[in-house]
Amino acid sequence: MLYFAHMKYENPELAGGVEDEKNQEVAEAVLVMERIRRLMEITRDPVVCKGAEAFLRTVVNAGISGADLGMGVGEVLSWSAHAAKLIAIKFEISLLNTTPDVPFWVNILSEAGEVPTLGTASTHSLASILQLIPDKKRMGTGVEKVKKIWRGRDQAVHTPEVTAALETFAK
Amino acid sequence: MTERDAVATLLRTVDFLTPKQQRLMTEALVSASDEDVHSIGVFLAAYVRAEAEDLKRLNA
Repeated sequence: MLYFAHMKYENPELAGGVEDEKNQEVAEAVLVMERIRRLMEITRDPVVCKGAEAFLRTVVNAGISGADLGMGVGEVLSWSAHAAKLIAIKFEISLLNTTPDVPFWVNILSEAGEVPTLGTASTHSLASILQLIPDKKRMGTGVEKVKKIWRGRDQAVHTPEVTAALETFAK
Repeated sequence: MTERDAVATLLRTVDFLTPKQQRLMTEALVSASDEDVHSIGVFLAAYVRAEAEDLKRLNA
C-alpha cells in the first residue's frame, strides 16, 4: 500500500515564501495523521492485544498474590479469583480467568498451603508464577510488534544495501 | 554497486509492488538497455529517498 498516498504535499525544501509555509503545515498534518494511523493499527493488532491482556493479568495476579500474604482480604480475593476462573471456563468468558494457562486443580490444590501456615501463605503466587511463564513471552512478542508497527517501514528502507543503491543514483 | 544491482535492490524495497510484480520486473531488467535501467533507477531512488526522509522525520 502506498504510504501517504491519500495525501499530497509538496516537498517544502523546493517551494518558497507563503507556499513554503502552507506546504510545511500540510506536511506536518500528514505526519500527524500517519502517527494516528499507526496508533490505531497498534490497538487493533491481535498480537499486541494478547500482550496487553498478558500484562493486565500479570498486574492483577501480582496484586492478588500480594494481598494473599497474610490473613484477611487476600483470602477473599484469592477465592474470588478461583470462582471467576470457574465461571470463565463454564461460560467461556476469557476476561474473568486470570490464570488461563494453569489447570483449575492447581489453583484449588495450592490453597492447601493455607492450612499449615494458618492462612498467611500467599498460595495464589503458585498459579501466578505458572501463568507468568507463558505470559512473559506474550508480553515480549507484543512489545516487539508495537515497535515494528510504530517504526513502520524503517527497517526495510534504512538498510546498508538500500543506502548503497541510493548512492548509485545520487544527483 | 552496478546500476542494475541497485535497481534490483530498490525494486525489492518499494512498497507499491507485489512480490510477483517485483520478480517479473527484476527479470525484465536483464534485457533492458543501460539507459532504461538508469531512468528506472533514478525514479525508484527518488521514491525511496523521499520515503526514507519522511520516516526519519516520523521516527525522530
